[in-house]
Amino acid sequence: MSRFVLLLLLVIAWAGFAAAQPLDALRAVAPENPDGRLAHILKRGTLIVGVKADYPPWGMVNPDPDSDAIVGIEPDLARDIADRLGVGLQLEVVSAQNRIGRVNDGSVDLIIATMGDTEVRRHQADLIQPNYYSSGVVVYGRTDLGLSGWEALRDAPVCLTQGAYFNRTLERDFGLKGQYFPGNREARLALKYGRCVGWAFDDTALAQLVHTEHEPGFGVIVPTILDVPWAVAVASGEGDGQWGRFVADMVGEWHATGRILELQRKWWVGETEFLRDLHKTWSRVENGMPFCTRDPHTGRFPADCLFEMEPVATGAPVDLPEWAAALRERAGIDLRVLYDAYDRARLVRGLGLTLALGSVAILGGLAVGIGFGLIDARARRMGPIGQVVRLPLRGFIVLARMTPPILQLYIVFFALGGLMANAGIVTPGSFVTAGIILSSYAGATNAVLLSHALEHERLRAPDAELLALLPEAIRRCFDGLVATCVNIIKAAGMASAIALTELVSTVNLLVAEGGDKGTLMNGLLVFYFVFVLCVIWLFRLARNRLAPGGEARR
Amino acid sequence: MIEILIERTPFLAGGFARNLLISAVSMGLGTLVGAALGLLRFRRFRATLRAEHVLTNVCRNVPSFVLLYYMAFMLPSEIEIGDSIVAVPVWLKAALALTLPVVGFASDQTLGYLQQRETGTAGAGETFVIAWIQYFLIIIMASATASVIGVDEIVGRANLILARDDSPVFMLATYLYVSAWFILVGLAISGLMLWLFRRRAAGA
Repeated sequence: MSRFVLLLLLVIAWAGFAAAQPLDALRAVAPENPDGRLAHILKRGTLIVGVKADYPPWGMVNPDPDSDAIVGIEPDLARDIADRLGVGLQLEVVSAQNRIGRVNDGSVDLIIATMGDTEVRRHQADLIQPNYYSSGVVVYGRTDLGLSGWEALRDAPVCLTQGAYFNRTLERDFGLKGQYFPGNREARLALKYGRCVGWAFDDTALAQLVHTEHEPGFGVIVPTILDVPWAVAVASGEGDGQWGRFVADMVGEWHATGRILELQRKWWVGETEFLRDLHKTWSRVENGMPFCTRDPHTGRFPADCLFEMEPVATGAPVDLPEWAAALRERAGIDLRVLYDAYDRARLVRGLGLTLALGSVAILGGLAVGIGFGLIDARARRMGPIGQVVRLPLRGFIVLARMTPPILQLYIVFFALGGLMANAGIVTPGSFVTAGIILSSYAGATNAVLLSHALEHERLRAPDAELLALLPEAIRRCFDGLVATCVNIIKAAGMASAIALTELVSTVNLLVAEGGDKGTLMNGLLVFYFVFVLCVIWLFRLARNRLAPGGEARR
Repeated sequence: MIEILIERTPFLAGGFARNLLISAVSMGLGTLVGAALGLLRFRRFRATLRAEHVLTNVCRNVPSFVLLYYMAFMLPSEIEIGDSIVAVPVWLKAALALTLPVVGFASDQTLGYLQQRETGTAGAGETFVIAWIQYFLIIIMASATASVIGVDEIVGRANLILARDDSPVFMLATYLYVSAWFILVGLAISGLMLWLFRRRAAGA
């Protein structure tokens, strides 16, 4: 019996020894007295993590149609962190464009969202070291155009996903003409439908894409450039706090245990060299201690345990003139975007597109309104045949007015555009699409206004030609027409949803890239306020020009 | 394809309920604030006259689409009240963005209503109600843009369904199906208006 007890003790001792392997020292443990964001998470009882939904297999909508959950390598990593803290997990879908904003404004605690580690982003949020992955950028495109090599793509339209770290470099240094889309899905569709010659994106995602679906006629047309490690990020200022340190410990633990390699196998991506190297380093043991232990004095990991790579520089610091620096200091108004040539050019272009689209929508809306208004007014007096004529017209008006314009944009640009591209028909670009949709949306309302006004005028002068009554009819419903035009200008920002880089879209891009959101967003509001006032003023001017004293007659 | 849409109908309906909720909240809130503003404009308090005018103008001129991003970027996503943490849901941010245009609208309509009532114009109340219902329709249409800031509403849910299958035919079917929901509600509201018109005509 005593021998059995001895054996049992031996077994327990051995098990204890085995459990206390050196690498266990790298196990991430939450501090006993949590503070800051970590305390906030524990108090909430839920960890909120921002992940991607358009980047298989890192983050995607569950391929199993019974669930709409977001799954993938990054959601699995997020789950690891929540489990370790003993809290629930809530995944929030973020985009490349909004992820830094979301973590900084506190709507998510952490982003594990395929984000490249760049110099600029290190100023925008606290990027956790060690990095957890690495990828570069390639262009996936049409193989039939004979475009190969980056130089061949100069001045070629290339689809880009808003917020990707390489966009600026590709446009500025490689001369690509970026066509911006809000997500990877839209960018890829746009390529498929011939809106660009290629789609620039991470080589990692490509491996998966080629793996899951082979598309004839498409392939990688350039070699990988701009290799960049990926980083998990917490809000600015939290990286050195308990929360940032805990997350960094978790990432280190993943490297030590080979967790991410394991997930790569689980999600069918080949093991990558980058991760194998890090795993080797992090599982090293020296003198009974893990090699990658934090320095007890500095709290830093040894430099060898962090992936050595110069972060890709994607922007240069901007020198502000004295008065602008003072404005920034005193009032918090940050005009740096105006002093960066690239940003300024984008803003000017965005402004130009907004003004151009606004003009097209107003003129188009008036033309459609007058045309359909006249047809409707004429058909009213044509008996049964007139009723037949009016039927499709009224159908158009109902459809145009009662379908949300953003859905109309999606339908025409993506769905119909896709059908047309598949049939080999040239598809209209985003400006033309938006111009048509906005014109018909405004035109439908204008047609109703004008048709009624013409009817009233006809009661006044029953024998007059319809066309002769038009000026007076326009005057009669002038305020209504102005209101429609103002509304259409306000709605034109929606074109940003189909990759038109007008002002709203440009400002969002600048905010996503770390521009001062207060200055930019307030500036945008002021711009629209003034813009609408100008349009109203122009219409007033036009009325006085067209009919001097018209105001008095009304 | 059709089976998938039928199967996902409850999912889309849930999203549409969110659209209606956003619209109802912004109409309710906007009407209250706008009516107060309109009343102040009507009473012509010297001290605040300019402020009410400017406020109404701002609400009228700034696009709701821009306000969506404004609210998403500028409002906090959680507030700490005493010991508990309250999340500010993103749909509420969208509702607040749509509230501003309603304030501008309600301010103008209230002023018009009060002026008409003062001069004894008949049917001032009905004019207000009809314009209000018409604006409700506009706001429901505008709520479809809320998905751009990540609100889980019908368009966002449609995009989620399309994340699995993005063939153009299925995309067309899905978007048209979603449009049908808006058109049906639009027709129902127009029908209600017509009924109100007729009732007014009969009463006059």
